[in-house]
Amino acid sequence: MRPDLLILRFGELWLKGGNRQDFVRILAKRLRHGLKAAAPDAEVAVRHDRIEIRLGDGPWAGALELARRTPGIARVVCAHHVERDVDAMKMMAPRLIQAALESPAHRNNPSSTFRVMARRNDKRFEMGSPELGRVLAEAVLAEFPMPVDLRGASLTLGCEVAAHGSALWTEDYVGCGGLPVGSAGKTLLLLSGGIDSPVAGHFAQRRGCELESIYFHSPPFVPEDTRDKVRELGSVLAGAQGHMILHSVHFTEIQKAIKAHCEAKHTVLLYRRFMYRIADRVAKARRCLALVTGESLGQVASQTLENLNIVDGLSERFVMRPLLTVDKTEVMDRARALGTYDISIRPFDDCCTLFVPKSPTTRGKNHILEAQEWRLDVEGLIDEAIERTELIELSPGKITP
Amino acid sequence: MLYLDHAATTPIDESIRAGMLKRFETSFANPSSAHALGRKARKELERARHRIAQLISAQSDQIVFTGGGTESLGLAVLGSAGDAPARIAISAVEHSAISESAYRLKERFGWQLDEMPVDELGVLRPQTVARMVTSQTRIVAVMMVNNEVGALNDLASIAQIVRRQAPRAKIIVDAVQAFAKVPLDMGALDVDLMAFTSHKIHGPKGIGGLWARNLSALRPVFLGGGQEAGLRGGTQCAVLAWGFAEAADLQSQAPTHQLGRRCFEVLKSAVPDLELIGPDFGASRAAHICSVHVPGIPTGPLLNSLAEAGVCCSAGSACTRSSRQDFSKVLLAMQRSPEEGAFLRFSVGRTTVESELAQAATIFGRCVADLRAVYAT
Repeated sequence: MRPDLLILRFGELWLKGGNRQDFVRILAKRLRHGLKAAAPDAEVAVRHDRIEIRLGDGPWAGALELARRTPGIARVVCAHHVERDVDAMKMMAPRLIQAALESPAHRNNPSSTFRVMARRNDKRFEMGSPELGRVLAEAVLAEFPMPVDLRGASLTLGCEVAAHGSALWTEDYVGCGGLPVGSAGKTLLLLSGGIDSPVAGHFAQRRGCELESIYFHSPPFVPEDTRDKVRELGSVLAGAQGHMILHSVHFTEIQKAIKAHCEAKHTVLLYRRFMYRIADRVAKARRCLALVTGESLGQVASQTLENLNIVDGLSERFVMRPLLTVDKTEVMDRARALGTYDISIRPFDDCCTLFVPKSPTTRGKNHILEAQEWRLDVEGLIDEAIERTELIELSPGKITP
Repeated sequence: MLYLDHAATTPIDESIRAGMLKRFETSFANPSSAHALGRKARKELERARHRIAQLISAQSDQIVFTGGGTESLGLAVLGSAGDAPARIAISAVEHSAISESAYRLKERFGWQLDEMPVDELGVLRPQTVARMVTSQTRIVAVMMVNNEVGALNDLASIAQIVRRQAPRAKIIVDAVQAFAKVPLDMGALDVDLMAFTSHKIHGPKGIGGLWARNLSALRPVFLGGGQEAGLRGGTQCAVLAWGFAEAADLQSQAPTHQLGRRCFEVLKSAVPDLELIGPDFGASRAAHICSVHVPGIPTGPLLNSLAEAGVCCSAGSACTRSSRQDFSKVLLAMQRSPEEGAFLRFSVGRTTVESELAQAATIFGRCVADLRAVYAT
């Protein structure tokens, strides 16, 4: 049955004290913006303890998807608005259960169990929560006899009576959780074509960070396909914040200089030192408060504790590494859920693997790397790379050059 | 843009495009319809079939139109395989349309697959065929011109050996790169099936052909309304067929050009240690494919720099990477390896002009020099 209302419940946002209203305002703005494309005739209403999306007559699946993917929302309920009247609710409840039983999830389940979770938020309503639950359960069970299981029923009828109306539902989804994007400020994500960095960006978004992203491109050593892949990954992250800027840095000359003048075993660490410095400069110019990376401890030679120390001091800004201690398989599961995994595994090289010897150093030393950098015009190379940086605006799901 | 990738596909001929646009208005009807427009489309379709048949000295009822070369080859292999598992022999450098169909016979139907090695020039030698084909062999598939290196196989000798050693085998020829460029006389060439396509000769995409000495010996791969002798159900497109026939005529009437050879000469003048891959230009090589080896630099970056500078060519058939797992199967079969350097295929068409080759060579020389400067350190 087509719902006419999405009820969006806050998670930890609810715990916020004085500035909760600011958070809710940011969230509502984000949703209104997203709905313009996802479900143009839906409307957002902010209530005391939730946000409601009133679905119009147009397509609504996009609104549900948006709500589920928007950081700051813990649960999404697909509800049916009913009058604040017990008889109206008693009429509606069996119809919803019938639709649920006919849905693919329950159709072939002969052992469906049932419960009602009723809540009376408006204490002026004529009936208390337990009694309301009982009345609705009787109405349903009279038509669809099923075993009742109050703890873990396969089918739950939700009911809520508020001052402005009441709602019934059988569908209730877990949302993204966390805090609204933008509530923590703006950060710069170091985005590659790999599996990790999009997940790191998603985690940062979930803690309220708005993202810009930076990618290091090395034509002709890296094919344009790699950059297309990064743009596609970026547009997935753009979905949670409406749009996202991608800074595509021309990294070729730096890699050529390192190849020409430095010892091969330090190549990757030198690349990374340049990346950190460039990202920090871009972050400063774009007023980003922190860098976000997909680094994970011990995953590759450049991500040992020693080698993380080598790059850590290079950014004036705080560096967030959300995946630092997360297991690779968990990261892959997250990437699948986020929808970036299948994009990330497309087989195009990125610049980190360029000119890299088979066994790069796992224990870099600052003074050695600094000595290597003495052979290069570090500032000149950085200036040139930033000079040749392209700004790409990414929209959710589609890419505009 | 300097388009030197005609072995991948060709731009459609101007006159064909114009003629097709006109015919989309007049010959759009379903050729199976009984009304006047349907009959008109049917005539157009059959005329096209007749023109193509004539070009290869065949009969109209030996030709079916398909969606393209891959479909023709798939129909040829899967459609001539009997129910009982037997042996299929293919050369090691066949297009995936053949090799994947052969793997299907092997994996799903228990056939034995014999891959016949080629020599260092990419040519399948008749004596190799003599060694590999047995009386149990039921299908032998060989390409006439290799799509990556232009090597031309001696099909007459190969067919003779197959007939002697495997009298029950069907001989399938992939003539996708050869059709209308190399003379084909199906009356004289003792083979059973031959696949060809339109878009490699400045015709439209979406149509190909399969010639069979005996169409009724084939079984359809998918079923439909009985069109194309029951082998390829689905509404036929008379306009595409006309474009295909027109392209075949125009291509076969075009003088045999020397631009492939010329392409190699100008590229070599820009990069003196350039090596031609495959046989020398002449009787054993298709004139339009110029495959080269550039020592000392990997393929990917060279291909990317050429693309960036507006030169369109290919690495192997269409792949852009240089790691071993992505290395061209054809070059591997020719005992080449990605560590040797870059391997590129330039291919010319009727629209290619000499000045383009000179421009491309200048860019090529610059790109190679730039990359060598990086990789030499």
